[in-house]
Amino acid sequence: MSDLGGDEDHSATADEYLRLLAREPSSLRFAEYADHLRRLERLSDAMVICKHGLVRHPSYATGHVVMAEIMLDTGAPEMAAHHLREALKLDPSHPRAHLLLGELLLTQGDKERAAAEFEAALLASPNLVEAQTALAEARGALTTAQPPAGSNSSATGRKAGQRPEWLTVDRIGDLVDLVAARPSVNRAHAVDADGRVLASSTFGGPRLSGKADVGFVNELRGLASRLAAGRLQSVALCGRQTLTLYLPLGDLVVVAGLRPGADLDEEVRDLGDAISAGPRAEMLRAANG
Amino acid sequence: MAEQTGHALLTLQNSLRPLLEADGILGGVLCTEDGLPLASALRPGLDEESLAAAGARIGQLSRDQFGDEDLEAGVLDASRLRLVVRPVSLGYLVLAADPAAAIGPAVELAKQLAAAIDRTAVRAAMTEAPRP
Repeated sequence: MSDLGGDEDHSATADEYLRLLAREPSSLRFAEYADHLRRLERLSDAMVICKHGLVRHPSYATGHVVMAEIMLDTGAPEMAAHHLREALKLDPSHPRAHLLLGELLLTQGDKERAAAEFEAALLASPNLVEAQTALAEARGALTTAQPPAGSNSSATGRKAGQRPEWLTVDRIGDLVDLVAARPSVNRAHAVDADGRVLASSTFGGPRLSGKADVGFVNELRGLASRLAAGRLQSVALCGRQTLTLYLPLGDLVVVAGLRPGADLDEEVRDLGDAISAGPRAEMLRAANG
Repeated sequence: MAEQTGHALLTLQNSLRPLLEADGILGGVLCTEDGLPLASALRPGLDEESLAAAGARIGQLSRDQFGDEDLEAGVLDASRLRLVVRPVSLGYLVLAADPAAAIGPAVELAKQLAAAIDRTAVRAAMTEAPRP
């Protein structure tokens, strides 16, 4: 989460977080650690850490937001709403609290109040792309046609803009390897929301500009939202010799360089499938032995 | 001079019309690099100015991102609309397509149309140039 603090390192391991918390038991970074555990799907541990932290720091708004996310992941939307409202009492302009509350209201069919929450999120953080997209959908500014099968609307699922739960930090390398293993692909890398290259098939090769990649995709996400074009699924840049595909996956962007002559339709379809269902299925198969 | 410019724009407008008959294509806009629409042929419900502004921005971002190599096309694929943006001598050609439409043929169509637009622009420039 970007609002946990300015200098956190999301790539830090659980051990590093534990050492930090042991050194500084009163640290506000309990929320960051709890969120880290949540992303690893260690929800019970995340809840314990976050509860302890909130006992010590009951007026830390971000702590309540993280607790709300844990509650949402455990299927307790009422508790999540309680923590989001608590967060907004403490910090009325907390953008993520407004965003999550809006998404929650939207799932309950309350479009009007959801839109008001998304507007509040955008007032506090005008570049919050998830809120832009969600607001457009809540307002019904988008076409009334049903979204195509397989599309993941931010208004109907709270995971929009967030990494899929199965895609834990240690699996991102596998995902990049899977993409790079396609015959049509000659390089691939994955970038997080802060522009950090988390995995690359060409480490040691040319320097990659993760910040430019993620900035490019984020601006196009915003454009798609303003155009009422729906959710950004991919971007392709075609040159005479090169073809580059950008595939948003939650808060990640997977970038694939394609070999000359690659069939763009086939690659968009197959790579889209590969980074969504493919790795998940493969990883589940691997996990099951 | 104004009459000649008007004629050139009409020619450009006419060159976009066949887009409306192409499979899966919802229309197209020709715009300047600043996003000012010059000519368009769009199905009802699509806004010329919004598409031109978005197309010019996509074109500029794509060029910046692509670096030194000549960009042939940028394709934005969203759940409800697909845009193909192709640089032309006057600015950008923006094709709007149904998301279910094939990308390859849309890029090829943009390429052919861009060549026709560039030819028209050159002819117009030659006609308007002061004679010695």
